[in-house]
Amino acid sequence: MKNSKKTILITLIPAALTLLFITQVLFPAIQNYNDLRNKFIETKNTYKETQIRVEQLQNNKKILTEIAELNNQVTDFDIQIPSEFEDEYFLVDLGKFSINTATKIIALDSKKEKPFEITNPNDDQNKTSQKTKHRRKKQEEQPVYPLTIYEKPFEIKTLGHYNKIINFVSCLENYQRKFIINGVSAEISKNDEANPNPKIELKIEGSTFKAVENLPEPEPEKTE
Amino acid sequence: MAKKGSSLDTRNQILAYILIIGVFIVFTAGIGGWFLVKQMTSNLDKKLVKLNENLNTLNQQETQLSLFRKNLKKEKEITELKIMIQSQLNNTFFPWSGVLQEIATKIPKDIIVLKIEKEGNIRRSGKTDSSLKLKISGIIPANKKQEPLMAISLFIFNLNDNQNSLLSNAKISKLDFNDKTKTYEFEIETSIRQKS
Repeated sequence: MKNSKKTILITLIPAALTLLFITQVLFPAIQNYNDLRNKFIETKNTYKETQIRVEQLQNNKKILTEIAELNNQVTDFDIQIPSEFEDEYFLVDLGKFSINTATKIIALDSKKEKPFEITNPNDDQNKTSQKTKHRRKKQEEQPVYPLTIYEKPFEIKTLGHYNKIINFVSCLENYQRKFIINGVSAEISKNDEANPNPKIELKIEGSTFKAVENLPEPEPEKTE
Repeated sequence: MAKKGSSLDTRNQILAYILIIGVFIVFTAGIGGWFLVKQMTSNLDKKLVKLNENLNTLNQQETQLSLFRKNLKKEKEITELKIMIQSQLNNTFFPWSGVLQEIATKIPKDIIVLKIEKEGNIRRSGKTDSSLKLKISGIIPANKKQEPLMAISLFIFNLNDNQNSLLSNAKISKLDFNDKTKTYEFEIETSIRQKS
């Protein structure tokens, strides 16, 4: 019995040291490895997910094709509706039309610019004719478009023989800039009433347009 | 059978050896395992660092691509809007030169048109307003060989004659005889045909 105790005592010290090593060094090292492994797997999964997202984002071919097709339809939009009214050029062009059609511009009155209401032509407009209230509500709910269109009404009075006046109107209709004629009214020039082929005074009401890009509102700064 | 000077008997000595060797084996295996785990941890750590670097690069790429995609979507939205605006403005276009030309070709010889006025506005919603009308005022001398009322009637007839013409539904709205000037003063109202 005494010998057995001695044997146990002899082996107890290295066994205790081994146990201490296992519990204090080996197990934490294994735990640490497992934690790292889990972290690695987690990061790898995140990497894969990000990689898939990046691949999806890199696939812009479809949207680029769509944009190219759409751009083909509006190649002359910036000419038709520039970012500024550029009245000086408009006046020069009117002068050219006047010279080319042998007419004379006797008055030009420009009015204050105003925003042009953008409505989708595909929408059923008849429904809106029900009540003014409904229309007002709809105006309030108008979406914020990335572009705002402004219109500048003009009243142009020209003088010339009837066929020349028609040519002048035709020039305005085919003008590279968008000029929408809202109405015309013609009368014989008072100074030319006795003439068998009198000159006509034509008043043209129309508008030019400009397109202004709406810049995105800056994000509010975060206050701590 | 214990040897002289030895504190343990042979049986216990063997047992002690076995136990010590067993503990030694476990200890050695533990050391070996620890080294192995340490080595694996070190390798995994290096891999993780590399993976994190790649992930950061990928995240930056994703941010840039997201911004690019956002810009593309905005560009697409603007282009679609431009098409919509263009279509809306094109729908409000009315060929006034054509209308004036039509009046010129359909007017009988002796009639003098004094005024052409439009009544109503073109709607900006896309279609031409059905209430858009033209009022044509003019005179015709009463002493001409041609019957003046016939000439006015012919003018109205000409305006209504062609189904494809821009003007339709022409009717006389006023007719006065001016005794001083010996002329008939008339007013014709005509509708402007809606675009199909």
